[in-house]
Amino acid sequence: MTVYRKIERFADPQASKTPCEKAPDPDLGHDIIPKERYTSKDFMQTEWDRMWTKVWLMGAWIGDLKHPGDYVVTKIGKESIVLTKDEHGKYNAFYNVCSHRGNQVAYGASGNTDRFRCAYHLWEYNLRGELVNVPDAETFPQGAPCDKLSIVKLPCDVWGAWVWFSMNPDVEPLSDFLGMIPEHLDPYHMDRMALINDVTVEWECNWKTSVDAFNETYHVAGTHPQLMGFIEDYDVQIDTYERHNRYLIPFGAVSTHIEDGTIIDDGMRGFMQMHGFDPESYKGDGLGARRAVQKHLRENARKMGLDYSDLNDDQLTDDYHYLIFPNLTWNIHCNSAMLFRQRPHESDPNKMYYDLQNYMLLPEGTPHPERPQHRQFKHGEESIGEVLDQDASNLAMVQAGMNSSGFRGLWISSQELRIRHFHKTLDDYLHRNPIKWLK
Amino acid sequence: MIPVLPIAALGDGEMTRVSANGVDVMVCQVAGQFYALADRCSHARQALSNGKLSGFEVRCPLHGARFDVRTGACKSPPATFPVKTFPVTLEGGKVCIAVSADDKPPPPRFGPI
Repeated sequence: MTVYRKIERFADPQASKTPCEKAPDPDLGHDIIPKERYTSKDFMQTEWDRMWTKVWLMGAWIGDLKHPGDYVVTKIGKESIVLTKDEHGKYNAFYNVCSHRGNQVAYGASGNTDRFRCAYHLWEYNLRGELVNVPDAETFPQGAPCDKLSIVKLPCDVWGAWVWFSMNPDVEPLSDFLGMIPEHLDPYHMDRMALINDVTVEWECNWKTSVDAFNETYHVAGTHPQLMGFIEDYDVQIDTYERHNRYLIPFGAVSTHIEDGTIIDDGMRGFMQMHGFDPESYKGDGLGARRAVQKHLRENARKMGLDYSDLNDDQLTDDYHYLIFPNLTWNIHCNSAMLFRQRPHESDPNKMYYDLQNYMLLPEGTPHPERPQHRQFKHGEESIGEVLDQDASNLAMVQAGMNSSGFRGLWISSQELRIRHFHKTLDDYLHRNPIKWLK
Repeated sequence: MIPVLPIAALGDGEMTRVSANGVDVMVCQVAGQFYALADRCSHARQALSNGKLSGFEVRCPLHGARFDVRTGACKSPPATFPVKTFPVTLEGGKVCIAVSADDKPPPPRFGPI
């Protein structure tokens, strides 16, 4: 497709709190990305041993751990992890397993309790996973000492509006792992946003097939043609950092793949309306729409009860889109954040769990709606929105192709640099103790 | 019922786009019967009337999703969900369809909410 224009940037890099300058592109080569990493059980196990159990992982929204006694059970691969807020207001993470015979001590996705009592033999643990009561303790001739049989605790910390954990007892501090992320994202004040949607969809693909799907805009013309009236898909700034990466997608702009950039379609009108900008009042054309929405928000956001004072002008319209390695993808806008969390299946590299959460900034003084109930279903049983349905519809077929003898591996463009960077970061973890077959 | 075209304008095995109450509709004739569907693939909003009609199946021009024109049922990926169908009658030499302005699709948007 021909590209007809460039998109202007209006953010002042000197004044912007979120760094907006282009980061230098790394030389990651041009090799084919091997397809086996999407399909192999051996690779899946290596990922588990060397990556999933070494990194920090987002475990829960902080709104679910508001009160002492609140707990959340989060699953990752074969593990179930309990996250709690204890009576001292501290956050804790521990494996969801009784030290006696291995039963899970917490069930359901969340709740509030003062202790976890195993349903099997009634061993009891406090909110830190410490064993506090063993019935008939005298019948354990080897002893049943509470201080030795507590549940294995995990590193646990907070950043933004989320509680994080790691299965690596020697993991670096969360702030080191996150690196540049807080500096980039704190200006959005996502802790002020309300959680308005929370679903998990079972997808028939590897978790990385899904990560890859959201970290390039090359697929917009093919997969989301209806967005091209108000989203730029080519002139997109890509930045890779030590292990995380991002791109900045201009919204409110007619795609530069469309020759007539002056058009204003239903999508653009909808985008304006979403930002409280009456499309009927706009006398300009598609080329000026993005700047007009930015100016409108700069002038009127306060009156609308929305505080965008820490955001640069481009952040008022654009999608600042981040991948926090390994499995958090964020579409972040001034008034909303859409979070994808990709979790690997317990045992099958051809399956995964796709967590979708939507957050929204509500006008000051607006009470937050009740927390939406989490729902889980299989792909196709329910719509998760037109755009994500389109992404999802590709994935099972892509995964089938990954398993084909006729597929050579991923042939990656510069528009897909974030995919290469993501796999390079993954390789960095896997190669810390290199094993032969990886290359 | 809104008259949208003369019966004689559409041969068997043919389809066309009409507009009624601001809604784009694909009307086709197959095996002597007329059918009307939203002229918008449930997957990526492409006009089905620009696609291919084979028997009772219409094929989307962009990604090839197929739908049964009698029921709107989705017959192949990448679409997952059906396409809306509208009642058709033949009156006074015209093909007439029942479509309300509420059948106009919402604007495309990025987020699911």
